[in-house]
Amino acid sequence: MPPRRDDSDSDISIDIGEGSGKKGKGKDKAGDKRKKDKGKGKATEAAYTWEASYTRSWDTVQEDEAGSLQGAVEDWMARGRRRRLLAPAAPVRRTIIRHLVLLLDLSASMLDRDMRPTRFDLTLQYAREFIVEWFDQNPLGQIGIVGMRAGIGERVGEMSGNPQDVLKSIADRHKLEPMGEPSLQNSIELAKGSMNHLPTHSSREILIIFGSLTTCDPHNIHDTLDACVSSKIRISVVALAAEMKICRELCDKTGGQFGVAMNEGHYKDLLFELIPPPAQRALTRAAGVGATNPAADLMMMGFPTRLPDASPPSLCVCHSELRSEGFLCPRCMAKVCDVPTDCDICDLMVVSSPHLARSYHHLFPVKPYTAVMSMEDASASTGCHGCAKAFPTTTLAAASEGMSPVGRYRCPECLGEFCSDCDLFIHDVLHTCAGCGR
Amino acid sequence: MPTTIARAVLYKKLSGVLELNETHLQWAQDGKSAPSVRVPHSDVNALFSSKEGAAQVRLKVALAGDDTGHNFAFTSPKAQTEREKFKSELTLIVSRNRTAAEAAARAPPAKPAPVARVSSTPQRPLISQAPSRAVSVSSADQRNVIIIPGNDPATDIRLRKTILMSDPDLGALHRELVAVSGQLSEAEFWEGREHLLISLAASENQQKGKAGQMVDPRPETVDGETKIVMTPQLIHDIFDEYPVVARAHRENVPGQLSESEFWTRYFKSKLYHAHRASIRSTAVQHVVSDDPILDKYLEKIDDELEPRRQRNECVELFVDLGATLEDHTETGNEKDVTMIAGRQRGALPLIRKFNEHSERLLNSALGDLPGAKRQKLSADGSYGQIDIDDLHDAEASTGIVLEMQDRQRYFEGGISQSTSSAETTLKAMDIKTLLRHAKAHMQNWETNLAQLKIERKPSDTALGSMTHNVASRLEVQARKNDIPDALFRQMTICQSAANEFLRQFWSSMYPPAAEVQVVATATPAQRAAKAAKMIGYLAKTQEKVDALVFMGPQHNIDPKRIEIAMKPVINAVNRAITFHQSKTSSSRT
Repeated sequence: MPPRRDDSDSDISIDIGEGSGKKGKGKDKAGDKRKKDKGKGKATEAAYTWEASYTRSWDTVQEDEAGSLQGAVEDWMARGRRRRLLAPAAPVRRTIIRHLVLLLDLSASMLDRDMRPTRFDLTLQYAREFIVEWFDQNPLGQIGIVGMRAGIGERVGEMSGNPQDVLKSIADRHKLEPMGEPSLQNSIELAKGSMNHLPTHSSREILIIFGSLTTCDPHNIHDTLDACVSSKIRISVVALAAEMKICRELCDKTGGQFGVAMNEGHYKDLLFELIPPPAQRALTRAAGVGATNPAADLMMMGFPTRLPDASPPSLCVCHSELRSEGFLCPRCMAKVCDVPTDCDICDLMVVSSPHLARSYHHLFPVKPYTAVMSMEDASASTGCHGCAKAFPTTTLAAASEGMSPVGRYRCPECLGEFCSDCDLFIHDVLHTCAGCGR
Repeated sequence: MPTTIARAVLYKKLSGVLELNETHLQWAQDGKSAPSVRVPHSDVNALFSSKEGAAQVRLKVALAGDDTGHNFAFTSPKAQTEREKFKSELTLIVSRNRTAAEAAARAPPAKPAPVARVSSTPQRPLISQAPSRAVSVSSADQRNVIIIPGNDPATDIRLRKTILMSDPDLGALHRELVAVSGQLSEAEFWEGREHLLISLAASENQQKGKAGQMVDPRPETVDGETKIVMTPQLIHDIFDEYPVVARAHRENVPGQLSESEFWTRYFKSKLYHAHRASIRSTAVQHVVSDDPILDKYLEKIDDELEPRRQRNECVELFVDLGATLEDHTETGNEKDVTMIAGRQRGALPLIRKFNEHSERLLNSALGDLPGAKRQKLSADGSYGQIDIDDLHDAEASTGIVLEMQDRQRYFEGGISQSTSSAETTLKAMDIKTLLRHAKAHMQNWETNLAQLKIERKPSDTALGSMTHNVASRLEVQARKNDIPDALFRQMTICQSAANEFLRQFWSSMYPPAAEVQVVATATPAQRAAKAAKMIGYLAKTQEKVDALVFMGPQHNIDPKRIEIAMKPVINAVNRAITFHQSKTSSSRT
């Protein structure tokens, strides 16, 4: 600001007092900010965070020689493909009936703007997407939501198997306004309290989204950790700031995953990695009574009778309201409004077969397709086995690892060759090979 | 301050005298001697008053556990000043109650924070906390069944009460079945609902942890004057953080200095600047003045190479900055001189202050632990310390391999069925004939198409049925619940009672895998008895529903509708009864 500099030149004595006062204040603020941003160091790179993310978008997408973005997109997809190859090929036991408590950090540190628009807004947005996707992939699961705010845990949403109910509980942004300091211990205890009554065949999971670098606990948090280990609660943490020893330990000891989000995209990746059901661990429960039980057990489920939409209204057991549509529990004939659910009367798990089928694909993942590396290797077919799109006839020069230069991906079972779009669609959406049906 | 103030006020539109004495706030109607409102000081929780210049001069006192509180209206011409008198006295009491409550909530209980006001009066003895609220409900003593183990009956009852109050439906059900008709015992009612209690207990038992920030009073500048607003909380924090200030306060207030003088001097003294959580010390020399009283408490600045308070714990080698020994002489490493603790002397006191602060904070959270437990020594010695997790291969998956019998059939089930049917049809027809047929069909397709006429009747019926379907759906949606409230409530009460019996019945039939430690798990005989009892109640449901149906015409409701509405309940009840019959007859034979 030129005028001010003029001032200071002309009238030094006054300006020193004022200037030093201001400087002190500025320093304070910068200090605060640095404290919060510790481990990110982004504040130092660019004056404003929006500038930082603006430059970032150019980093990820680069045109190839011909000026097309195709190569970049392919490269992006190849990354996912490589990750899939890392997954164990043999099917493992997974928990199909899941219970998850989402622990949202609602402390003041969530108001940081290092993720746009703020950590808080981004978290809410991702949490909504996460919940929708989670229920899509785990229709038999239930989610509860707990907020960490002002030193205590707050129950935001009760455990529910209905995505609408869960979404409604975090729909109102103003009720969740961040404030105060978070307490990991209090909120984990609270989450634990709402899962203690669950049967053992279901999983108990806590997913913590943690933006703060401190936790403000009344007692020894390691006791809480031990309690979680003994009640088989799996804790995963997505940290938005930096790695904290206690967070890492929570995840390691309970068998969860830990990750620090580097940017918005990575944040979402970390979160969505937790959607597929976790594998059951073999050795960790050595302390369990009567050793771990390797044999699988059957559990009882009921397939309800659906009442038509146009049937005359009658009272349901869950809301005591007059409704026409509903499902009849096969064991006790009670009328419930929604499936899947535990019957309100006889506690039988009431599901419909599509729910089961949708959960099963995690047990039988489609084998990763291998990339065909050269034209000599390719089969005679000229079009994709899935969508019949013609394969490119030229070989792409710059192909990164896991990416086929001829644009063909082969199923190891039926040897059908697919284009990269179909590969993605089959693995991410369809979950069954279009060629051989497995 | 007078020990007692009394003024004429209106309470619930009755005139009387409001009196504030040493222990209670009380109100007695004119002409009566015994006060009809009597509130101990410790119960006063909050204070509200009408705005200055409002038509009525009101004062509202909210009580602990009862937010509605009491409302007093001052009527005399000097109402404003009278109210102010009460207000100022009660404000003191309220603030003291809050501090006490906060102090009680924090473990270990801190000593009561003194009031920091200039006008502060000699400390009155703290009145003990309000009597436990559970006393009011202890009339239900014969139902004192503890549901959650490890809880005392009083809190257990209070938790149950809170749940019933927060969920009106559940409350109504409880009233209906347990309190009024006594069809279920308290324990039976809560069986299967333990999780409600546990989760409520979990959310109620939370304590706030102590925040990690160091006390740093922020001066505010108003009209050129620098002010620090002292709250009881702040004073408490300062005393906690710097015991020496507490000592100075104890020894000098109110003898040599008044409360406000003490704090004014403190914030100007060297003592305060030695306590600040930063090294902003350069400019300070001008502000700080010598203080004969407080300077006595100054301690020597802790910036020697060795800290004043020696730590007797052994530091792990991996984090010890001093451990830069020559330990691998064969590879030729030398003693590291780049990292020396306390090279910048000015930073030393600050570092040590932080250390002490952190230690104090941890101690307040952990309580007193034996020294051995305090340090989490890694079990696998110094080798384990340099074994960094990130360098391990993450591949080692420990998942249990899914073994499925006849795995092949899972995949082939769908396929084989469809292919076999397709194959049989294919076999039946030869491809050549098929082609020939198709060709024959395709001849003259243009003329055929032109001659095509769609029959009117089938399409009409198809459309008609579709419209009918949509209409009936629409009708269901449009139809409002026009059953009168009273009747509807009776229906829901009847239904929820029946549901509760059903729930009890099924839970005695199929007891849930008990993960939660319930006080007593029922024996099979007990369960059978309970099931029989529930069936007894359930058998009466039909009568009740019939009565409701009978009431329909009185409310101008088609009895059919009530019958249909209650149909699922009746079905479920009948199902339970038949189930029970078959169970008992099979067990007898």
